[in-house]
Amino acid sequence: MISTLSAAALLLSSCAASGQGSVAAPLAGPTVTGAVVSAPLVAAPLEASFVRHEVVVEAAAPAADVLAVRAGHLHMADGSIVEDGVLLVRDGLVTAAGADVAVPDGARVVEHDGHVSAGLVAAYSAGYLPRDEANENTRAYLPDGRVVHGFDPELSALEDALEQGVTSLLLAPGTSQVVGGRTAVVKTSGGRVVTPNAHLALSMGAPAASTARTPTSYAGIVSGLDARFADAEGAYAEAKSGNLGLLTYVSARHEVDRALRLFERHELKGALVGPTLAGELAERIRASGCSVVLPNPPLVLDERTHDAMAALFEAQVPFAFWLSDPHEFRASAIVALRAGATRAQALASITSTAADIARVGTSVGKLLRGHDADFVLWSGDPLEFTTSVEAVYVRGELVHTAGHHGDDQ
Amino acid sequence: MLLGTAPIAAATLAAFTLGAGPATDATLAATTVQDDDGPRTSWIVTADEIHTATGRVIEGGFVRIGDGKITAVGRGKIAGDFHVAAITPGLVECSSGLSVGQRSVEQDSESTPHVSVEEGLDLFSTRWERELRRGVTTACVAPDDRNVLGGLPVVVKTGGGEPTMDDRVIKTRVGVRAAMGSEPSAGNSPVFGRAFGLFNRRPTTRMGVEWVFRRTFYDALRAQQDDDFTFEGVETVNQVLAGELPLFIQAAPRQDLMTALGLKAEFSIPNVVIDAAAEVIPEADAVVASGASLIFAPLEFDGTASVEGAQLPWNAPAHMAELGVTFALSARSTGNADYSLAMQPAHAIRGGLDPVKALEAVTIVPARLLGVDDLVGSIEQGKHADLVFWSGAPFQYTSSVTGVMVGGELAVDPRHGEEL
Repeated sequence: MISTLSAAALLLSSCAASGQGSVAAPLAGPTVTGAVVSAPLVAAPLEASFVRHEVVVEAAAPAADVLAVRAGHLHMADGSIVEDGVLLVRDGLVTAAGADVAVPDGARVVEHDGHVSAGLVAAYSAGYLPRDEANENTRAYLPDGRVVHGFDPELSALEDALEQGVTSLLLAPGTSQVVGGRTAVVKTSGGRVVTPNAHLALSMGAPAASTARTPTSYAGIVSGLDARFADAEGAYAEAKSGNLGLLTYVSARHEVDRALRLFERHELKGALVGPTLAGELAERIRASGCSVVLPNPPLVLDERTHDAMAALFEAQVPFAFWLSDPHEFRASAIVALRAGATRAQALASITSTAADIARVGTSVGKLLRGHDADFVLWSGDPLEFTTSVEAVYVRGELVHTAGHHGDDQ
Repeated sequence: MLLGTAPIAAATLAAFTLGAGPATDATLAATTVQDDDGPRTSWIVTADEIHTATGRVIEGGFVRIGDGKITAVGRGKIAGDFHVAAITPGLVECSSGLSVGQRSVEQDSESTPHVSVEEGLDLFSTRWERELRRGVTTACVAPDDRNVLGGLPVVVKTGGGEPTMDDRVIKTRVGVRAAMGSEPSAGNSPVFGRAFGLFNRRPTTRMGVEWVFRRTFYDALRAQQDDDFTFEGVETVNQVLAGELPLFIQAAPRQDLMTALGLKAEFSIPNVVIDAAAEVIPEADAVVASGASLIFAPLEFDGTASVEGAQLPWNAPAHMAELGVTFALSARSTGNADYSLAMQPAHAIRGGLDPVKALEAVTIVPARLLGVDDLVGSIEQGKHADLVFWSGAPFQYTSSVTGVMVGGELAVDPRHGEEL
């Protein structure tokens, strides 16, 4: 619940934020490689992202610019939950989070006796580009294509995702081209591009073997990729070195197997997107160093899917879920919890792990000093079905409050 | 006993060379021990009849299996792990069709002789187990017949170990797959009539298919003469011309059979196997003269093959046997159990084929055609322990497959009374 006191503070914070042009810089101009990009063009490799312990902010800052959120339950970057925690925000960034954080005098204060977590992050999405903007159907290999050019900040689906607590999502090329282009990570509010260049996106799934053009076969896909990675140049060399991420759509297990064999030949690793039964190959995936982005599972799993998911969690393979219908997104983490994931793994699958897989783990997905102050005020535990979103902040700015339209309880 | 061969005395079997001493010694007990944690792969199985597919039948004998291989075969009463009525080798399907479908063939060109079907496998498919439970332990997988020269088939075990390339694929570059007839031209069309695309290319007719084949082989001959001329796959075509790789040509109807045999003669291709062979009796002389081997299309009750509607009477295998033509039977992994590979010999025997030939036509002969007869296809010391257990005489309508062993693993345990 947001108290009366904090409602006023919210208003203040909203006004203050809107006065800052840098908070929600819209995507503009012919290039996206300019100042609107908040993360480095080339994000750090997945294993390089790390958890720092919360740091108490120095008191020197003029406190009037500081937003302080007092949370009944604060979900920390390391997966722990702090009772009566405090989150401090300044200039759109987290400056401190934890139990023993002092609220500076003069700070705007939001009281919330429910849970506060980082804004949700989707490591893959479908339906967040305008129609026909995801697949460059005439080109099976388009390594330098960037889907961010099709990003429409006004797309209404983004608002729907925001209302469910999703603050960042990965935009990916469609699955019907072998090399679809570069993925991007964007904010659901304000049109901000976190990175226009997260991964080289491959598809080794059935849609990529299409008789609409060549290649038409798995053998053709593999020989095309083998040739490009053998003497790798450009994007292929960047993906091989790890400077650029690698994201590969695979669905059936034989497609996973084929991808892992390709990766082994060329010393590649990255995110495998789409394999529902990936868990049946959990040990091989773990050994490959790859992560997995699963399609949204049904609320009640059949035994085989349940066992496969459990095996994936058991093997400690980093996993996340894709975003299609935003109402199912958080439920996926709850299903993961029920299938045997730890509470920390489950929440991380839609926050910090997702951000790592999306290669923006150093700027979003955690309530950690220096990270974007994207967070959600929940009515209760976000891993409970009955919990709803009460408010969403992006870069410290209140961008959504649950209305009285019956869409949130 | 069904098969006519005389039983061979145990004393004449030289299979007892492993460390345990003479196998006729009754101390060769069932105390088979396994060290690792995997499935058990060491057994002794006894049977009323052992059909080895080496031209002999052992009555009242045993097969000893160690670490997934056959270590001894012999006659005599010994204590085994279990007893069955009859044992045959695991069946070898040389025309399985168990690829991933159209995505198994690269239609970038209608002539892709050099493209292996390896990447067009789904080792996780449930169809492997269906085949395995019906007695098929080894299967050849070719690219789908959407190209005239479709590429290189592979030989796969249907079970045992893990569903990985290492555990299941026993031979790559088995030969080159070619197809005559309407399948490579189906769906193609001239450039007018539909938007430009893959299907606007040649061929749309049988003469177009044959033209593509001949162009590829003439190009290979030209490349042998002209250092400046080459094309993708030329080395593979040269291996076919040199007889180093067999050429499997699908040709069911009579006109396709004659086209295939004509191409064999035109290019002096040494090693040709006609797949989906059907209308061979009217052209029996040409078949004999060509020296080609055959893989019969599945024999079905109405005498019509499932391929191109060609006629295939049940006496065709018997007729070819009389003429000395080498042939295998196949079932193309049909879902219809009446036409499964375990039933094909029954149909052929009913059509007059000698039962020994019928057994060989689903075991050692296809293993030879695929070049894996050193590993599978008969019950001999050193080969994979791929065995089918029967409730009675094999290939009788009244008998059924009660158990299947692949690589020493009991895929279907006959002791559980499961019948298929």
